[in-house]
Amino acid sequence: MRRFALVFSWMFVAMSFGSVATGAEVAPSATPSVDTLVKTLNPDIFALDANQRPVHAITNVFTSPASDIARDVASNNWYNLAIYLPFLILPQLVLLFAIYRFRDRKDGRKPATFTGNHTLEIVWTAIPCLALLAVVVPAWKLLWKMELPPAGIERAVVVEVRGKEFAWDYKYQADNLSIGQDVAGIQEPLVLEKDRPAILNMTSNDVNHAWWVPSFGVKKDVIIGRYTNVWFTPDTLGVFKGQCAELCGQGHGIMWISSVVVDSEMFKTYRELLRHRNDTVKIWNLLAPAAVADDKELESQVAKYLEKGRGAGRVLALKYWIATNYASIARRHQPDLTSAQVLERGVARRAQLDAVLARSLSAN
Amino acid sequence: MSDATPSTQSLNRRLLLILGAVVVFIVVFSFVVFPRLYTLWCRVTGTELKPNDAAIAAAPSVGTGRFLHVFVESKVFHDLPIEFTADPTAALVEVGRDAKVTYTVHNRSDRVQRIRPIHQVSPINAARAFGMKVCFCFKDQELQPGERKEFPVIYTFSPDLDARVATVTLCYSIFEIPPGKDPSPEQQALELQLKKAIAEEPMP
Amino acid sequence: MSAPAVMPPIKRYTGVMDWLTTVDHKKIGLMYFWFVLIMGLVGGALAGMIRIQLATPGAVWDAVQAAQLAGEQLPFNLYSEDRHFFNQIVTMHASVMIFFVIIPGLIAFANYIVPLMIGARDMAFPKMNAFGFWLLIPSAILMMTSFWVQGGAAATGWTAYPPLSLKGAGINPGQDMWIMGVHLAGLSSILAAINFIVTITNMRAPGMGWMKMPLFVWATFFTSIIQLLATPVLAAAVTMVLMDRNFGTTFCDAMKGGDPVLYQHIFWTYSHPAVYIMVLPAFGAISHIIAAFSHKKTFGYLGMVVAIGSITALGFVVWAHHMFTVGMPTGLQAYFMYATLLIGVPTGIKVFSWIATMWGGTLRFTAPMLCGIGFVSLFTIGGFGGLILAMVPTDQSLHDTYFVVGHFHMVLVGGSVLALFGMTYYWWPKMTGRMLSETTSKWVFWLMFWGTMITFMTMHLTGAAGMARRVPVYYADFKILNHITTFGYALTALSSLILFVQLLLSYRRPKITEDDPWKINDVQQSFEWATSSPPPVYNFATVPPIPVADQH
Repeated sequence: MRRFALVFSWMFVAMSFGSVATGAEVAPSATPSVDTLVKTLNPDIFALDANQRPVHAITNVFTSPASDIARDVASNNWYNLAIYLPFLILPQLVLLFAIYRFRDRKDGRKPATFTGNHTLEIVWTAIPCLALLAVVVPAWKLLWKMELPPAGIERAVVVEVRGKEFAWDYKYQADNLSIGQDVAGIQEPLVLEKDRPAILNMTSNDVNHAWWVPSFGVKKDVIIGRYTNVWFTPDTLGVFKGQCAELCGQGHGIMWISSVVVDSEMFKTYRELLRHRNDTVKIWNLLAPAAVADDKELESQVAKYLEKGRGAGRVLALKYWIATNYASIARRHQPDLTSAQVLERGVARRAQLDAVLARSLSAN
Repeated sequence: MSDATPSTQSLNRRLLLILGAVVVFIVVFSFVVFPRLYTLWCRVTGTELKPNDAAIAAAPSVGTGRFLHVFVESKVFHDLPIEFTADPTAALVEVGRDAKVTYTVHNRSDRVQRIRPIHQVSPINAARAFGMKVCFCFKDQELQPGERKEFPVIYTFSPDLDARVATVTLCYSIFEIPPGKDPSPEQQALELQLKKAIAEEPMP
Repeated sequence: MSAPAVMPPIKRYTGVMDWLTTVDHKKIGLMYFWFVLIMGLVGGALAGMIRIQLATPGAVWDAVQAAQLAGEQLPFNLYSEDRHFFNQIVTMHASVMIFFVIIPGLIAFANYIVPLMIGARDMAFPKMNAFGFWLLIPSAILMMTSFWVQGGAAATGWTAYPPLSLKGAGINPGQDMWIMGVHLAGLSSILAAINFIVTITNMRAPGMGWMKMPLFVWATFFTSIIQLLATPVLAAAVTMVLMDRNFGTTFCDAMKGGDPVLYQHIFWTYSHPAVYIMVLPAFGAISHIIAAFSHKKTFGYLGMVVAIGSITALGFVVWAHHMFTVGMPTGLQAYFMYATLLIGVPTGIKVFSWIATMWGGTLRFTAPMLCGIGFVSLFTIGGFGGLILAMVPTDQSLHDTYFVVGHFHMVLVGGSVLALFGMTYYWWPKMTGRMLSETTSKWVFWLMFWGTMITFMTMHLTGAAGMARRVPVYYADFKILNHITTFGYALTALSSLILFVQLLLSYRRPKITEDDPWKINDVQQSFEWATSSPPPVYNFATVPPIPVADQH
């Protein structure tokens, strides 16, 4: 299949620009700093670099498949193309030849008078039929594979996906951890683990949507009143962009999807971060850009937060959520602040929190 | 006009008769014959989808040694003032053996709520092998103001479940229904039938 | 039967009233034609509005990005921007193009040419024919005026999937007006279908057996069968939505126990056969054009007829390939995949036969011939996209992306519209008695050909690269591809405008006197070239003799 991919990928050259693998974004797993975590787990999918090109380019299933299913889909597609292409190219070439060869040269040549040729007609009916058999069998096998993960898979990540106008809610079912929109109302990425199967059970709260990340090679409608499901095993680290693929109303165009594939270490960290998320809300309310950030109140809230546990993970979670909330808010229009001002204030507030945290931790 | 060439009028009458017969045939076909044919077709092709497979539900509870991760979800639509929770939300269920989950519905409003619980099972292959012995979804429920009710759901998976299924999501959703609608005769019949099945089969 | 005594004098109107009251199939055909031309410009303008919005990743979006990079205050709140209007335009572009351009466009020619081709004096039901046309006017008015009602026009895509199309019930009448419009347009096309079936079955000239019918007549016959059988299903589907919206039924409302997927199945039961309504007559006409200008007879007449027939039959059993992502059982998906691929076989037969028709001929590259060859070439490319989309695993990546948009536009614009252009150039001398300028016509063709190529080939790539359809804003990644598409649109728009002006101005050209201005009837032996141009009201003074035996 590789060979087909090489031979035919020229056809898809035009769509491959910007499809460089984005694995470079992912930090090494050992004791990541808060900033690395924010950068990895909350990437800005719309960011442009100095040349006005997207930082996280969109990738697609044909030129940069990023899951086992996507790889199968892509190679199945190249195989199909290899069988189909003669039926596209030959008629066009013969047509061109006929245009050239049989043009009226005004030399008095008499046109042919034949009106049929049974052998020829039978041949050009039979050959396409055979070609169809050749493409249907592998497609059927792949279809069977796409239906359900193979028996015996134990460590799949099962995620419930809920579409709503115009965003997505995810829930890691085994941990009962939910994600959705961040403090700025921006869609959060679905974080998945590399080389670990993901099973997505999808349903809708209102109208039909469709969950689609091109590089994962799957797309399924998200329908109210029933579950649809897909599975795939992401096998490339990086940020993957997608969007809703079923007209769902005004905001259909901005119903973005993003997914971050991380290694197992980072995935563990991420779930740990999520676990403490709800507890950080009160502290965030004190530190938000518009808040006053009173040191006393902050100290008492931090103390309350630490009552439930003072492990490194819990402290990291607090720092992370404040930092990531600021990163999100800076991407969103604020009534009285520019992005730069938000980021600036974020730096100050994070320093304030760090100081309070250091005091609280050392006090006991 | 001779008898050999019928008049326009009699031709028209014949046409009218034929067309009338066609209309009658279509009506009879679509309302009497077609539903039966459709059911038959579904049975033959195996695309029969029933809300609940009574045969699976009535089968005796025998373990097969194969376990499934079952995630239980609950969802309230229409922003109803109803609290709806499941316990447990995740379970390890043995195929063939009965499993139980308890749903709690709490009406937090000060008026009577009539609700219709609908269940969904994912993936579709598991839905085909899913049966319920006891369920509050067999009929529409009515909740008095402030009432809190617990509903046990006893369900089972048939042993011919697709071998690839390892995790199943079971979701009950609550929809509002307009007040004053009694359960349909089919629903009552189904309920009776299931009650009988349960009476014969001891609870786990 | 006793002979009638004296024919009572029939009061004939003249001028405008003549056109308003006419039941002559030729005049009705011309009215269809001009209606289609005007609606085509409307639909094209709507497409232009879409392309303006998509010329950049989103005017709003760009401004946000720029402001962000510059660290300035963001000028717009992206998430509250009203994008409802874009969805209305997308919906109306599709509805206008399908219900008021392509389907009636092909009916226009069928109306004019089919009775001539079979040697009939008129359609079987002339008044019903006129009624069918006049139904389109209120239908178009209903759809177009819905832009100005509260909440604007329907904004749910031409597929009108519930639950989205159930929104705004009782508040925004746009969707209801759209449904009414579809009902009227559907009724119009059912009436036309009945008329064609009866005409073709009963009113052929003596001696013209089924297997001597010209291919365009065959194509119209099969198209009419599809219209007759499938259009009521569409009416049923949209009626379900109408009832759900206004009368409290719950066919499609999942909130009340209905099933949104049921609608999709019923809708596509019509709408897949409908794509063959939009292309089969083109198949028939192209066979005539290619044969005529190759100075040969159509290759494999029987094969052509069988191919159209089997496309008709298969067209009814493949609808769910529009729904490969709704989560159907795998077995069903596999069936629909295979059935869909099978349609490629008869279509292939037709393409091969057209090429074989040209083989050994003396080709004259007139404007209609260019359109015919362009049709064969572009339709093959478009159909090729269909083969890729038929494969379920690939389709699950390409469904509802610009690949699909590119595919069906390639088939409809490169296929049906180009064929309509070809038919216009071919039959315009017959219909109006005026020849068109070959130079202008060739400009129109080449602009349309390259415009189609550029616009829709690029759309294929855009879709494969990951852009979803029906979006007003998109990732900056797709900027260049969309620039190219917009450029291609400009070419097609220019081409259509030139055609429109050319046809308007043609009425000032001198009338021709020949019956057969293309000098092709020595090979074609088709009845429409055996009467004057334009034909008299009664079509033929005497029904022409059937060219015996080997007509094909």
